[in-house]
Amino acid sequence: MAAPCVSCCGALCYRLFIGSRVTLAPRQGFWKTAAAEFQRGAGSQLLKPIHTTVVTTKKNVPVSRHETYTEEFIKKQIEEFNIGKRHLANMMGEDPETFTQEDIDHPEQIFPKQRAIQWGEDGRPFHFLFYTGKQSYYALMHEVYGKVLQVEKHQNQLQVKGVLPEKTEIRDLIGSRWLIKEELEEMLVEKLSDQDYTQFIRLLEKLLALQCGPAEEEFVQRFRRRVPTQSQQQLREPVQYDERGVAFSACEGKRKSARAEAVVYEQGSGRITVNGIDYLLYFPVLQDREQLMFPFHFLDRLGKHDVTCTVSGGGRSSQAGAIRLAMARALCSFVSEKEVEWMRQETTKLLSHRSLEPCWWADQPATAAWLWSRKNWDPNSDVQERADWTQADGCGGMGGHENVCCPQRHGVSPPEHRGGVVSATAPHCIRAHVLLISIRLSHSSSQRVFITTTDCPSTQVMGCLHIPVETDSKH
Amino acid sequence: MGGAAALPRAQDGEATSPGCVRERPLPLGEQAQRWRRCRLTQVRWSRYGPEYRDPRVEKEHYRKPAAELTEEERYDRELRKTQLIKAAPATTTGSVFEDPVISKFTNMMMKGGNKVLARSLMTQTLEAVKRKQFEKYQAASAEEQATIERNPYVIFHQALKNCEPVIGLVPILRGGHFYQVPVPLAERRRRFLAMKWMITECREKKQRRTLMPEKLSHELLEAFRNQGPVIRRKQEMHKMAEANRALAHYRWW
Repeated sequence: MAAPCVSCCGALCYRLFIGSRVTLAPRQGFWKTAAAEFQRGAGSQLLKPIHTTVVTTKKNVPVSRHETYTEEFIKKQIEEFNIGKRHLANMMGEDPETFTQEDIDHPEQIFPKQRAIQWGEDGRPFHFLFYTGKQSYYALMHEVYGKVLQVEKHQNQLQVKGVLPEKTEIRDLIGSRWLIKEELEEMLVEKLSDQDYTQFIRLLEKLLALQCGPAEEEFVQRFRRRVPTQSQQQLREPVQYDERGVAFSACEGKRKSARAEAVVYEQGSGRITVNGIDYLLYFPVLQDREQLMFPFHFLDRLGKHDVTCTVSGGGRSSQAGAIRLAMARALCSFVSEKEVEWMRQETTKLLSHRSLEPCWWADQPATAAWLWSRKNWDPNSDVQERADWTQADGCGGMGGHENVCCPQRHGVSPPEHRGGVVSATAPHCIRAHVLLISIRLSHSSSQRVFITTTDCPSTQVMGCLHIPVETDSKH
Repeated sequence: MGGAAALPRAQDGEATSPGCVRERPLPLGEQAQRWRRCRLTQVRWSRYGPEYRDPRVEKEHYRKPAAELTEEERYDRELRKTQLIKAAPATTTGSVFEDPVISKFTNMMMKGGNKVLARSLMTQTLEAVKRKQFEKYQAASAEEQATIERNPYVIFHQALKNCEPVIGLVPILRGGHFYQVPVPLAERRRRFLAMKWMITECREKKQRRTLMPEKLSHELLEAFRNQGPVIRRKQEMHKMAEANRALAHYRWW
């Protein structure tokens, strides 16, 4: 039968290469319900009998049933994946120990964590909070509140004895952030509402506010994630030496559609040459020259460096901005870490550039709405043709970013996705007439377009298309 | 984003992609044609997400050694290390001659994006103010010289401060009629009104051949002395607010 997921083709190709007889999908037919074997683990790893549904290959049945997989099955897949990876490494001549490749999907991503059946053969649920509907969430809240009460009781006892509670230092909460709602949902394998999430965070903050011991600290740290220091993400260009032995550093910068490259020499007297012309003649406007002066003035290095730059595109102001960015980046190599951080904090002229948004809505084809006309209507026909809807190729107008993503978690948009399209192949790709219904404009740097399908009786949101807005290419 | 080595270089005649640096600038016509095909538009919303913070431009702030910082400042600095920060706009320079009030006034005077003209008018105005005060200074006796202010920036700030109204009128709809209700104004609204009145006064009520710097410098000096049409307009606004004070209870905020 066809593999349930197209995106495990990475794993598939191992199998094809090796030719081992491995079945990826659960067998057709029913699993035999074995007697439940209870294995008391850390609380969340219980082996339970799994019922799977029959998956058919009929065309019109939408493939949207929830497939459930045992943990055994997943473990086996992981082992086979690792063996396959080593084989592939051998074939490619790489070292199997350190073989990694980002585009090979790991089984943990293909088979997402899912809930096992929560009740036994007699129909009684295992967890005492099952009937709340969100058992893991409430269990967690219960646990945290228990800890809060414990800490308060401890403090009261100390107070009664007359011993002052020791003042612990303020923890470094700056380098970390709370889990976001999506991450918490992933952790608990449960859907939560916004209020649930806020309540949970409030309770954790309350626990932190009390002077709690190291055990509680560790518990709370499980719900915090590191936030990277932004200045470390700034690449420092290494210093180069020309034929006379003079140190220089070359960097590029851009602003709107202007592109500039600046070469900053370490020794100099403050001369700036732009496209072979002196900066005083190239930028007659004072504001542009002030922009050129800005990075040097900020670091107190006016008149200490010579600069040669080339710039093209844009207007006079954007060219000045582009050169400013290029010079600031080049100066990073001559300057200490602290000053790099100052520059970043002061302006991020190091990291970002500002640009216009391309007029993406103007090039879209006009999506023809369905227009009923008596001329085209056949009173004797029983079947209403759905083909009246034109195939609104809404994606086509977006200029080539035509991947329909599988439903992804929308809340987190990590920095590495900002510049490009998040293109994962859809596991449940249907040949559907796609209708562009709404464009939600958000403050984030990628626009999200929701795509629905007209094949199903009720409109479902199939996924969303991330359109990068930073490109100014013509489409 | 950062590495220069990774970015490709385009030869002339090749299509560029963003991030590609051209060897030589394109001829003007070619670039214009590409622009027409490109169709960029002005975006009214910000390209930055809500997590971006505003930059701080004063370099003295960063030069302070750690010992002199208060707790709050230290915490703030640590926090900013992990935050994303917007790029500084093209008008900020961190130079000692930069004045935010003057920049704002220049922008308000600007017409059609002609910042060059607006800025030159501003500098001419300040020069005119300085010249007039200097002439007065030369002609005055020793006691009077101590009272004459020659710094044009001080005159400018004081004049605008004198023009700021304290209370304003807001039309509120009640029972099918609009009533002018006296309302306290926010700081930024007051500053805006002062600048706006000054500029409109200078544009509309001047003789045909007078230039803007001359008229503006004259008005600024009058406002500095609490005289002149702009001050009168502010006082009229106050009088009307006083007259309508019975309607003050129409305000609900």
